[in-house]
This record gives sequence, C-alpha cells and structure tokens, in this order.
Amino acid sequence: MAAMNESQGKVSLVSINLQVLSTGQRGRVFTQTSELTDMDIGALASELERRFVEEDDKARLVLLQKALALPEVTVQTYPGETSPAELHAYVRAAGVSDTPIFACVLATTAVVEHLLAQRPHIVFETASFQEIGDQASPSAIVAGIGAWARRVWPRTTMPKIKLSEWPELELQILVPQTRIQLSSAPMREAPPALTLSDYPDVEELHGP
Amino acid sequence: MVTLPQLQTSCPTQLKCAWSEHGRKHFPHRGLKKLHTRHQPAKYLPGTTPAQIRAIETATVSSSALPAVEASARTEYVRPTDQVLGWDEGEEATVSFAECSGGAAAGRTFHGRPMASSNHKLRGTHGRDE
Repeated sequence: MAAMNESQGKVSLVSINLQVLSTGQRGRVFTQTSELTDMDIGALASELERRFVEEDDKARLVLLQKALALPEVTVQTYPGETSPAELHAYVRAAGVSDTPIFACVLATTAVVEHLLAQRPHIVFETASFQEIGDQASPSAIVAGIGAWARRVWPRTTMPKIKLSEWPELELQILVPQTRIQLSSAPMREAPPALTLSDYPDVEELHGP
Repeated sequence: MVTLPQLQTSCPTQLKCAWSEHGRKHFPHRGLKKLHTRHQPAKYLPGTTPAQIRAIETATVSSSALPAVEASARTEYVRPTDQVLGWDEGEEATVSFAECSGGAAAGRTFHGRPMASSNHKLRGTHGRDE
C-alpha cells in the first residue's frame, strides 16, 4: 500500500506512505523527486519491512508496548550533538523499567533533508525513526511520539504523554526563536550600543 | 583437491556501498549517560563526531577481506579495539560492529555501532556473510 506526498515549497522532498503487510505497521520512505525514476514501490515496501524492526530492537519494543499500556508516560528528549540536531526520545515508565527506554529518533524535516543528501538518497521511517515536521516544538514532539506509537502498534490506545521539561541549554539549541524577547515598553538605562558618541548618520556616510 | 574461496577486499569496496548515518540511532546526544543504553540501542561516547563515527565504521568494514559478496547479502564486520568507543546495554563497548546491507531498492550501505564484548551477537559473527 503506498500513497505519495510532495512537501510544499520543497519540491525535491517526497514521502511515500507504506505499510508492512505482515504486521500492519506503517512508515514513510523519504526521497527526492530526482530519485523517483525507476523506483520500484514493491521493492521499497520489502526493504521497509526488512528494516522496520532490527534484531536489537525487539526486546525493547516489548518494554515500550508495556509502557504505552499505562495511563500516562513521561517522554524525555535529548538533542543530538550535530547540526541540524535530531532528538533522541526516551520513555520513562515506572513499573516497567527503572531506566529510560529509548523510543526513537525524532527528526525535523531539516534532519531528513540532511540525511537525504547522502547516498542512496532514501530515508526509511522505521520503528526507531520518526519525522516530526519543520519545528521541534513541544507540541510537535508530543504529536511525533503519538504518530510513532500508532505506526509501530497500529491498534494501541495512546496514554497521556507528559513531556519532560528541557534543560535551558537544550531549549536554546533547538528553538532559538523562542529566546527572542521583544518588549513593548521603552528600554530605560540601557547601555549604549556603540561606544563612540559622535558617529556619522546615514546621510553623512553616503556623502553628497 | 579442495578449492578455497579467493579472498577479495571488503564488501563496501567490492560493491561500492555508501556509509550511512542510519538515522543517527547510535549517535551520541546531549546528556547521554551509560544508563540510556541499558535497553539498547548502543551509543557512541559523547563528543564523538559524525566524521569520527564514519572513520571508525569505515575502518571496521575495511578490516576483513571476504570472498566475493552477493549484492543481496548482509555482511557483518567485527573489529575489537583497545579503547572505549561507547556504551552498549549499559556497559563499556570496545568492539566496533558494522553491517553492510541493502540492495537494488534502496542502494547498498553500511553502518555500525559500538558493541560490548559481552553482547550476544559476538558469538561467531566475525566477517559473516549471510
């Protein structure tokens, strides 16, 4: 099963919705329009099925399913160390594990585009990877975790997700636009922006 | 007379496989601690850059000369090192593990991860061609 979307304003990025027929799990395949020629959707679906759950994921996915059966879970996210930064999401579920359980990598569109720049120019949305759109905002993260859970466990009923607050450092890295504070009141006793008091104005700079 | 398979170069060299970040699943993140790897996936140590990860994994897939590899096969490489590369199942990982796989649909790529010497995958997987 496949459906295709082309992101608005970014015509080079294409996502193909696929389903793992044996399990009902779903995932997107991201690629570029230039790669669509000769692309075999059936072969892509087979590749997604092969990659969807890796051997090392199986035991953890059992724990995650138990965690998601709880009424509420806490999700912690940590930004990666490279730019554009991905988020590494962990589920905290008391009674299931006393240590965080890795859920998936949450990737903004910028991260997907970065990965697509490398050969073979195809990115698979697996049980360990979830695209979350353009912004890594708290609402996008919660929505991304919900989308990830519904893809991996199609019949699951989502618990309430509590997003653990990010440390200040992470907030600055991921959503710098929220750090800009515009004040409507005039600034008082602010230090001068320039140390010289007699600097030329625009007309003087341009000359006669 | 027994004919032994002729050893060639590694499969990335034979099949021109590209290195993959593998969705950054094994990349370090800010605030990473050993306990984050208790249930997998393994992660490289904080501060390990993508260039360093690529160099580690490229060295690993270049460490074994294999018989001719079929394009559809998955090939695993194991390279013990003398340093801690990351954490795996909550333990220090000194082994570099890499896998080369893929095919016509998505291109053939290799990626890797740090692996603890106690990891069950290390039982008889050296340079295995499946």
